[in-house]
Amino acid sequence: MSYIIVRDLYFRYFSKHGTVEVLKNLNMEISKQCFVAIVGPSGCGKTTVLKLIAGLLKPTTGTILVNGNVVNKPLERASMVFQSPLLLPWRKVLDNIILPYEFQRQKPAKAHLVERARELLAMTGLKDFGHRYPWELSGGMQQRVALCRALIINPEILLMDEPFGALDPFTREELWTVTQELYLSKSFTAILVTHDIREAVFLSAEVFVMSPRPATIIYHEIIPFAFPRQLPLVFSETFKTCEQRIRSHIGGTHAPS
Amino acid sequence: MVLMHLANRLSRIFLTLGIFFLLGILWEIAAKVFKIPTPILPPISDVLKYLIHSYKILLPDVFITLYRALLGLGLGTVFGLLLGFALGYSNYFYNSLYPLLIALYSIPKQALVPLIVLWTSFGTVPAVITALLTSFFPVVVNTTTGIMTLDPDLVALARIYGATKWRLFVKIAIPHSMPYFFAALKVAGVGALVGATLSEMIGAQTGVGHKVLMASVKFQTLELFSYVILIGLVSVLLYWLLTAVDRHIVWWAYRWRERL
Repeated sequence: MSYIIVRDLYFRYFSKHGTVEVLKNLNMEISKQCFVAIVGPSGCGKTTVLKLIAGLLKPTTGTILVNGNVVNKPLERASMVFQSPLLLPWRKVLDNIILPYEFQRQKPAKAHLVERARELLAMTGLKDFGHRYPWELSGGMQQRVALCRALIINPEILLMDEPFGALDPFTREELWTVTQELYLSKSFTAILVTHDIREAVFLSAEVFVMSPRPATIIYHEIIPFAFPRQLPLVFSETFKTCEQRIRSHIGGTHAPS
Repeated sequence: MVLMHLANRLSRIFLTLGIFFLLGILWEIAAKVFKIPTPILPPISDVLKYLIHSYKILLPDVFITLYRALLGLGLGTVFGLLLGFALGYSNYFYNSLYPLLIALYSIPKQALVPLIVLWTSFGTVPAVITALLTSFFPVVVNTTTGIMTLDPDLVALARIYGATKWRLFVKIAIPHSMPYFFAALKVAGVGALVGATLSEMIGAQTGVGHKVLMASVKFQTLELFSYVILIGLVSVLLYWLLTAVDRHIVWWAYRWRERL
């Protein structure tokens, strides 16, 4: 059985404009330790899928299973990264990274946590920045800190909602490499929601394409390239063909029969 | 570099003093040239002479008013902060209490003071209560706003890491609301002085409010202006003090300023 199963997911909410059907007949299966991406047009509900899998929202109907258990409250051993780093400005970088543990019942010794935080900082190229404040760092550096914070609890699942959307293309590519290294060394299951198809194809083993609202999965492709992948791969013919194929499915409303 | 900052600062202070000086000269000229009778607008030179001559008699009432205002401010701040937290924490409280709060604050204090005097006594008690009422509202509103403007994604993050509502509130919401609180505190300080003075006009026999009223009724304009200047100075000093406290405690909120 797959690690993450989304079955017949239907999600709607009520607003003053009436009922909004966001997701309909959505089905997905994700294997353990797999890095997958979800792409689709703006506003189709990608973030909603992520929040449903995370247990932050409840499905209207349908089931979500993680490791065989039904998800009906926020997942444990899961982390999220958003487009905005959302670091606390009154805390230094190190204290921001160990924040997740302050909400948990069982907390390892602080010295141990600081050690782990330093390791993560080193892995993301921010070795000497532990004692700075978040606003002393650039956007890309802050997002790297956000990644460190996500990984301090050694999550089994990492959910990312357009994490590199606010960054310039060069910083974005840098962070793709950082993310891939972290993934290969920590082996979590990752779901990346993104607008950027190149990003999706470069980082993930499988790409899911969502239709416009009410959204369902209309296309699914397994990316054939082996890990670790280097940035120049992005310019190869096979990569571009793959990217084009996926791109051609965006905006469509029916699953191929 | 430091010298540049210092020069910048000094030039700003000089500019402010310069403007005051200019206004003072205009005042003097207007009073003397247009031969405005002293009971209406005495020349500033006469006011200053009077002030320097009589400040020992004038100061005690200024301190009385300040004392009442500070007491009211202290109580109003604590009360306002706790209420602000409660309203921010619980939607239920917010929906039920907030309209009541606005209604209460909308009543002109001048109308409330005679009632408060009737229920309590003359002098300090109504002044402190009025100062409390005028100072606590900005604190409540700002604190509540500070808590409610928390980024929903940050809340999502806290929840995914297993935060209880309480932990999220204490570790993230409260620090986040502190810049808002301190901004309100500055306003509240001035409000408390206004409230205390107002109460003294209606229900006291000491304090600047009372003295100002008496002076105006008796056309003792020099005394009147002197009190106005003194209480104005006190107000400015209080505001500066609260600004310094603000910059010191939530220094991290001013991070954007560093970049300019």
